Amino acid sequence: MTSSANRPARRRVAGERSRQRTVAPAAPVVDDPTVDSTPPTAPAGPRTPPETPTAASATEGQAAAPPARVIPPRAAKPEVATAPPREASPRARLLAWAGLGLSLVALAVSLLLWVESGRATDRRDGTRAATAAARTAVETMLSYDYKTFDQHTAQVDALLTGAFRTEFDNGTRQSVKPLAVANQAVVQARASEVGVMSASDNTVRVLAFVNQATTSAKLDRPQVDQNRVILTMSRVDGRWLVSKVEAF
Amino acid sequence: MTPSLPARARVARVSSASPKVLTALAVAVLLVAALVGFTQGRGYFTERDRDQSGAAALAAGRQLAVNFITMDYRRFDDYGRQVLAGAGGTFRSDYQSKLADLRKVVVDNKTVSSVKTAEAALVSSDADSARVIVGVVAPTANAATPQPVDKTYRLRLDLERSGDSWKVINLDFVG
Repeated sequence: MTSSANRPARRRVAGERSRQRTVAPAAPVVDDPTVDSTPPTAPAGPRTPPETPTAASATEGQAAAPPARVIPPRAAKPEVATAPPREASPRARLLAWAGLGLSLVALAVSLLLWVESGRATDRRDGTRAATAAARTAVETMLSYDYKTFDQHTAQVDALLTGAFRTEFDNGTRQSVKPLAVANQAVVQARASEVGVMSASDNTVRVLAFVNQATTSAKLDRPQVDQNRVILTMSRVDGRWLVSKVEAF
Repeated sequence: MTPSLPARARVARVSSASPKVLTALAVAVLLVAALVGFTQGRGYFTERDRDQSGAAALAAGRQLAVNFITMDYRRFDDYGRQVLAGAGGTFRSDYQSKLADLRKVVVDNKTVSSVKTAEAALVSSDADSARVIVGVVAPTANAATPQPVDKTYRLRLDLERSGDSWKVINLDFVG
C-alpha cells in the first residue's frame, strides 16, 4: 500500500494498539503493512465499521470478516473503495434486533389499548342501554290497572330475569293484585330521574326516583308516592333485564 | 445446553439478517404502532379519564348530600362550614345567604338529623360538569318529635370541576 495509508496510524498510537490486539487471529491480514494503520474514523477497533471508504478502511472491513472471505488487501485499491463489501458488525445487528423487539412491544401495547378502548366503548353503550331499559322496566312494573292486571303481569315478566321474576310473580299474585282489584286501583308510574350507581360489562345498578300516581275507590283524589328504587340490570342474551329491585 | 447443529445454523442465518433490513422493519412496525395508538388506542385514555372524572363527581355529590342533610343544632356552624367547603357557584352563595335563617330554625327546633342511607347515582358527566342524584334516608329528631323519625330526601345536584375537586353548584329537591 501507499505510505499515505500508513500516516494516520502513526499518528494514533492508541488506535494502533487496540487494532493489533483484536485483529490478531486474522493472520493473513496481519502480514500486510496496512493492518497496523487504523483510520482515525474508527478508533474503537474492528467492531465498528469504518466510515470513510479509504483503502485502509476497506482492508479493515475485511479483517473483521471471517478469514475465509478475506480478500488480499492488495486487491483493494483506493479507486474501488466506493463500495466495499462489508459485513455488519455484531453490535449493529444486536441493536437492530433490539430496536425491532422494542417496536414489536410498542405494537402489542397499542393493539391492547385498541381492544381495551373498544371494550370501554361497549361498556359505555351497554350502560346507556341498561339505564334506558331500567327506566322502561320500572315504569312498566309500577304502573297497573286493576282491570288488566294479568296482562300487566305478563308484560312485566318479559322484562325480568332470574329468581326475581318468580319473586315478582308471587308477590303480585298474593298481595298486589287482590288489593288492586278490591280498591279498583289504577297506578301510573313515572321515573323523574335515573342515574347509574355502578356499571360493569354485564351488570348495571340504576337508581330511579319514581313517582306513582294512584287513583282508587278508597281515595278522594289521586295520591302521589315518591319512591327511591334501585334496579339491578343484567345482560341476558344481549338484552338488559331486571334481576333485582330494592326500594329504600 | 448447546443447541443442535441445524438449530444453530438456523439461528445464525436468522440473526445474520442485515441491520439495515431489521431497522427498516423496526421503523415500519413502530409506524404502525403509532398509527394504531393515535387513532384507536387513544380512546382507552379518553374513556378512562371519563370514568375517573364521573366517579369523582359521584363521590363529591354523595358527600355533599350527606353533609347537607346531616344537622345538629348544637354544632350548626361546623356542619354549615362542611357544606360550604363542597359548594361553589350559585349554590354556595345561596346557601351562605340563607345560613343565618337556617341556623335560627335549626336551633329553635333543636333539630338533630343523621344519614342512615345515602345512595348516589350519576345521571350524566363530562370532563368538567356532572349531574348526580342522591336518595337519602335520615332519622331526624326535633323539639316536637324527640324520638328520631326517618325522613327521606331525593336530591339532584349539578357539579362543576374546580381544579382537582368537584363543587356542587346547584342542588334541588326532586319532586
